[in-house]
Amino acid sequence: MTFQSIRTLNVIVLFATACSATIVPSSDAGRLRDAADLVLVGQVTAVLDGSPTLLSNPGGTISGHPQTASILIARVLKGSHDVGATSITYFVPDVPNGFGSVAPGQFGVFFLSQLTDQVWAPADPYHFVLPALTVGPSLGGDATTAEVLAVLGSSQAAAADRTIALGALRQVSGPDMTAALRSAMASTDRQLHWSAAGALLTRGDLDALTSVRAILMASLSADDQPYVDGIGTALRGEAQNSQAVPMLVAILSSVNPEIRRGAALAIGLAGGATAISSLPGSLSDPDMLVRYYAVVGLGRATNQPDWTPSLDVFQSNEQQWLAYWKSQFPSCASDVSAQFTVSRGGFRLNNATKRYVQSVTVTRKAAGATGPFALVLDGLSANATLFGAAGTTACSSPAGSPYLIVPGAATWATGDAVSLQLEFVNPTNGGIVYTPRVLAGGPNR
Amino acid sequence: VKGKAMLTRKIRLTIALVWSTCLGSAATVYDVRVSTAPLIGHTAGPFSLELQFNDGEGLGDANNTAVLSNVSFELGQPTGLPSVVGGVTGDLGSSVTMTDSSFFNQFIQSFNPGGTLSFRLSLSTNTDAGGVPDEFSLAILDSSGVEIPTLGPANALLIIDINSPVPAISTFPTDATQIPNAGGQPIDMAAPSVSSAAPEPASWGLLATGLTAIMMAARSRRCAK
Repeated sequence: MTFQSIRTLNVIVLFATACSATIVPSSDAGRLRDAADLVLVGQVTAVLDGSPTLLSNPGGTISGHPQTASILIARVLKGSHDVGATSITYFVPDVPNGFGSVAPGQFGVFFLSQLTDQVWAPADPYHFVLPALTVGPSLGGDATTAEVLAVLGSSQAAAADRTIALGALRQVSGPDMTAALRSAMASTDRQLHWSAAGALLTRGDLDALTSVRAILMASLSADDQPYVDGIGTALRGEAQNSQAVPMLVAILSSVNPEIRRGAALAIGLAGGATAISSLPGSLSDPDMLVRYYAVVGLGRATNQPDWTPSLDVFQSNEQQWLAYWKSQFPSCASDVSAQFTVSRGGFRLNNATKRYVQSVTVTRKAAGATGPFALVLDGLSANATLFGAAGTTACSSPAGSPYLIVPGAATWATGDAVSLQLEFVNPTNGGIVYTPRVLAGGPNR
Repeated sequence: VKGKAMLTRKIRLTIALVWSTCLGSAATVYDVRVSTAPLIGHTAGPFSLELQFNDGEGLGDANNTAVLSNVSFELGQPTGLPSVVGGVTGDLGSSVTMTDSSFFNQFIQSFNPGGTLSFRLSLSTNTDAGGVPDEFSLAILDSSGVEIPTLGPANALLIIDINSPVPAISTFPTDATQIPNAGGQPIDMAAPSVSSAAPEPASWGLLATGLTAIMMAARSRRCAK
């Protein structure tokens, strides 16, 4: 068969495919496998350009040229083909429109449709090759999925290939997928790291939430910022995961508004007692969307559709909606520990009072919530009690922790600090251990 | 010539390594002086020197020690026997070693004050996990067993938080407006002076040993050539 005849055949096929491809389809590995007559793993050994030509489709005519790639076959995953070599012809538009192409040396899984005995074309003009490893995977299950999964889980594979693999495996679940995603989350490549974290969160993976919690609570670098929206969206996947709810409540105090939005929305979707106990604090959030999601979540949790506005209605008279919900739920203080540094000194027994004294400095490190602020001592040793505590937490989890009101203005500038002298009654002279937490707002803590 | 230059460079690098190792492992040494003249004849006496060395981690992890030596009361002197709680051994006649082997470790020694109380404090500086440092503190108790009032936390005159290899030192004067618990006039006493002393003899010995070993190694190489 001449190159001209191949081109002609292929153009027909491409036309037929392009007609139904006005929206770029996903690169889902399962979909590509089902659409293909032949799925093979191999390496592109050469790429040959054809003459310029035109491709007609419903949106107009596309100019471009065909390319024919020679592939050295390593493994056949679906269909039948002699082990050896084959070739594939595809169309390369002059103006990129998402159609796929390959380059010499590229190794991958190829998804092909048969035109004639010897002629193969892409099963999908947009996605017809996914990354693969030269060594075959040891994973069981579907062979195609296993090939791509091996790339995702390989720390030796290029981050770009792993990111493509992740995109092709969105519909895949199971322990092998979870393991591969966790491996990918450990990557130093920011896009891969955050994509894997988001995928794990979407799957309700509590370990992932634990792993990214510290990152979500802190200020993100400029490199990470573009991916936060995706994580915020992924957090919504945790709505039905009851084990994740305490984490989501903690993340409500993240310094990143996108993260707080995702957490507030997820908690609102989860509804129930958690929404009622945690979302009132977000009614005073500095971010408008977080406040809105708090209103919607409370409306849903209390079944008050009349007080659950659409976003534009909420924005038109925000104070009215907030005032109503604040009257329904006198504010429960929110955890803003991520916005403060609590620096603690050692202990000394005051022989006059017989109480242990500890100097503590609370420093604001990031702008955000307004006061009053309370310093909470979570997990305080049973042998010790905080002298002069203003109360114990009942509204803000964990409950039963003593706290002190941090003196000073309701609004601190970043870098402002307040020093406190904590006193502990500790008659047995046992060790004093606790974890500090800072709450903002009130009066309920 | 090239080989000699390389050998010299190696020796210099090794000296730097040994020097930094010695400094890193040596205890931090301070000379502490407390002006006790205002205590002489005061009706709130007899007074006691009170030291605490409390564990920040709360476990009694025994990862730090504080050693007092060269204690001088000038014209005064200690009286009676010391009272100790927790990981404390020794006496002021020789040295007192405090270890944070319990959460609370305390040494109390009554004394007749002279013009100045001075001592050398050798402190190891291992940082505790958990964010709360081990703390060494000094106070003076009156006859009722209560600290004379100071402007410091828990009426301490000196606090050292072991929160880094170079710990934070805080000193405080007495509160000259407060009457001691045992009565009498308020006591107006300056904050103690604390100065860093040279590394203790053991550290010098370690350094000298290291340098000697290096010199011997270099000499043996030259002889071999």
